[in-house]
Amino acid sequence: MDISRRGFVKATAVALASAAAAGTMSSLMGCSSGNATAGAAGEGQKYTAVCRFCGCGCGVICEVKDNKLISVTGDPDNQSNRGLNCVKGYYLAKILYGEDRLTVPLIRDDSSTKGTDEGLREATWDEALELVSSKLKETWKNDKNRLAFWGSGQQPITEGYCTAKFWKAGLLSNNIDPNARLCMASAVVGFMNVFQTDEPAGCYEDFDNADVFVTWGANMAEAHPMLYSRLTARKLSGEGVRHYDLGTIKTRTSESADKTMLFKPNTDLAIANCIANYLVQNKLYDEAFVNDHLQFKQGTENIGNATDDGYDASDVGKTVDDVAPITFDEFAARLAPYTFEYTSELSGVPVEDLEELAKVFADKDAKVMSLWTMGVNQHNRGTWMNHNLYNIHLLSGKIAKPGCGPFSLTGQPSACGTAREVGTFSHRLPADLVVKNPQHRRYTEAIWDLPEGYLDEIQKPGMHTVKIFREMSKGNLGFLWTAHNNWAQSMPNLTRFLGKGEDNQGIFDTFIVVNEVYPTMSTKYADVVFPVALWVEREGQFGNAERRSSVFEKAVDPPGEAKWDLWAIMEVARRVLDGEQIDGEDAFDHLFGFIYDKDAADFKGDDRETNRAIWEEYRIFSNPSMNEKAKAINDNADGTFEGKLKMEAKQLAPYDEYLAHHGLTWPVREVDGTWLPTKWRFSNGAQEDGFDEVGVAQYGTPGLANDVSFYKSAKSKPSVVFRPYEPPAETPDSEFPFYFVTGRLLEHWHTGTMTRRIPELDRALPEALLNMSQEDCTALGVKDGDMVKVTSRFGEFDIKVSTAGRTQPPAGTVFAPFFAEETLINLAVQDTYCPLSKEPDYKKTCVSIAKIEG
Amino acid sequence: MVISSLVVETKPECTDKVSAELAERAGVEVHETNGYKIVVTIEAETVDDSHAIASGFIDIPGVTGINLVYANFEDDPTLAEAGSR
Repeated sequence: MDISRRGFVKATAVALASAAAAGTMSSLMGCSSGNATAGAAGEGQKYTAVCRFCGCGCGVICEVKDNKLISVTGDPDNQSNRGLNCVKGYYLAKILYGEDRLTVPLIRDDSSTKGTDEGLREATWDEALELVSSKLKETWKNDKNRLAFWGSGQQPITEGYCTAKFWKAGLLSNNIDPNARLCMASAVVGFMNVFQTDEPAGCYEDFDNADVFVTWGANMAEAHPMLYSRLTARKLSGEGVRHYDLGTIKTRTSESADKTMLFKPNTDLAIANCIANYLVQNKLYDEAFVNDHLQFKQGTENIGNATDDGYDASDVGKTVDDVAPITFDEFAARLAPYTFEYTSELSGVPVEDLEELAKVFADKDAKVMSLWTMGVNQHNRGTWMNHNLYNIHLLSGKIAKPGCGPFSLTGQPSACGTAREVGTFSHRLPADLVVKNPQHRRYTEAIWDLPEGYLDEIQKPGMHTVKIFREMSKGNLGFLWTAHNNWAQSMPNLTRFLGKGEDNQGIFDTFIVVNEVYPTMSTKYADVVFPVALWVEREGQFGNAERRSSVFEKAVDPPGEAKWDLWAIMEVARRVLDGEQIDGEDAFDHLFGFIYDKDAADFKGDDRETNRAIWEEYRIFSNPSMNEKAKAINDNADGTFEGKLKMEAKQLAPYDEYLAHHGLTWPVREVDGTWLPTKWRFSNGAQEDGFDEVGVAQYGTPGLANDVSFYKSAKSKPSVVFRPYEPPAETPDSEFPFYFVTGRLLEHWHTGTMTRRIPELDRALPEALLNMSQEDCTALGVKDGDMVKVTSRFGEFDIKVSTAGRTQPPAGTVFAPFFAEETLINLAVQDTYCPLSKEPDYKKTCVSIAKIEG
Repeated sequence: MVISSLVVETKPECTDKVSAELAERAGVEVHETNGYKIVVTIEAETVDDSHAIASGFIDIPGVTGINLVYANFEDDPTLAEAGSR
């Protein structure tokens, strides 16, 4: 870089940061906030994108010169982050350029080499595609219960959509599930049970307006740094803004909270009920809101634990979703046992702290935001805890208004946009539709141009994630294809699933295909590895936690022979569907002929044209007026079904609007020819100010309490469902006396396949440590740096002890992160899941700890 | 040389002190203070070095947030090597 270039780059850097801080130096070199695309550095080509890492969904501008990324800038036009990124942003380019990037297809000829560093050889794409296609077709034709696809909340929207379409309509299989099952499923089932529509009413702007923040089992300071920065900024700029942190261990988030309340595992259920009880018994709830908006229910209780393979089919397992209406008085009576005294005794939280928190929700003027992630979702009663959080926000009317609301955070960049909105789950179809509902199947058939009744074959949900891996371990899976995840490290109970020991050797007999960018634990078990494009090496879209869909443009080419995932999916689909027909037409062409030329083995258009075409088909799901047949089903025009689908509740805009606006939060409404986002769903008010004016006018009722209208809920009333305290699946005993909690830390994202290739991040946090209290260390006779063996009923692993780690567990609880493949903590983690959401509880495995001598 | 810019957020009563501390650090230049926010640039040899410097800010008493705004790494020798593969 010569001196003039250097001066120019530095002036750009100062101007952009000043603009992001709303300072005075943004006019340097004519750059201003809102024009980072033009301002950034000046020489290279600029592309809008979204950060590849967590679920915050921060916008970035990529600058490219000679097919190489040369700079990244926080995108001031993306309203999720307004120009600010966390320090992981330094590495957005570097993740593309790790030394061991996969650039050619790999094939394993000898399955006995699985689990080792050996056994994979280089192959041509043609050989790899032929092998994968023949194995999939053979399994499909023989017994389609023996095949599965395991996707991801990191899969871009259009790729997820086409994968689901291939699996559900092409193969007529529901054995497709995402890794979002491991992190968001409890939130999803909670949303669907309460509101009959997924994803929050509020948005990130609530952070700028809240008076009180309550974090429930969420280490936002490390897992969602940008949003935590927004939280702390609000605390600094607002008078008397408070933050309560609730959890079972102290974290970096606790350090900056005004008050931390440590509770015993699972008693968060009781704490939420205690708050609800206080509101109800003292008539401090929002009576008008309750009368206008809520219905009350209770459900199946004493539901046991989904530890054994037969749970789902057991008597209780089959009834876990059942609910029945109750009166408000009956609901109050169910809450009555949850006094401050009882809850304090159960949870260990002092009565005065519980009372202080309850009074926050009783304060009619306080705008309260509850935030939660894995502590709530990865919970043997995860769905119930989601219910209980909504209960207190609904009773107090603190929802769907700026600064006010329960907000479920996500961990992956497109857990919402792809896994949830596209519906890459075993029970779902796109846009919140489910396979078991005939109206939903008819609607999907209309959009996919399938004969009526075609999807009836998939009316029964397929295998959820844990079931997929349990069946594989038993030898009941012939073919597994995974993409954008690292299951061999992130799944619980890896002792079983990786076939350690004599039993459960099914992994060695299952033909496993892994789409990857780097060698991982999962590629060690793959029969075929497809080398694929990473992040901006192709165009895609992410949907983040605030319902914002954003496009990331293709900025550089993939290295070597690495290809777009979607191309590999199309190439396998055309081979497997060869000779099949749908409605008298070639099946592949019927499903994908609009984007793919199978004779040319390539897409008909470029990345942009392909993505736009897929999006425009996907968009029909939320714009029924684009398809006459779909519109009639949506409107229930002939009275065949129970009512209207109201699919416009998730309305998406034309593709190019997202490029023009750098992301939009759905539902996106066309008002006088302009597409306007919605920041607060169900809240009546001007659409141009971000309220849900169009939705309320179309399906809702203006003028109800708080001027909100839950028009997508059954009877337009969300359900307050009483859910009691029930204990963890395991409680400490003399054999396994400690609770073991797992989680994520700042430097490494998930299983570390991207961040651990970055030397500085790896140096900053080079190894996984077992965080323990000094009290427990003394009792066990171990000290910092000692190696210990951690053993559970499920397996064991060795790890180094630290009393000065990132988290500070209380006596009786220990913590370790899951990023380190050499410290495979999931060997010992239970695969017990929430019976409703089927999401595993990673937070409460009971373990013993023994010092390793020498 | 990698050039990056950040907005460092502080407790309001600590802004001046943090600003002075930042200005003392190698490769760091303070350009502007706006309320409790400080605009800085970092000039360092590589992205790794830049990240190390930025991450170190959290240890300064009074720092509440570190936001990366812009990072230009066209002259990072380690990236140039990787990108040419």
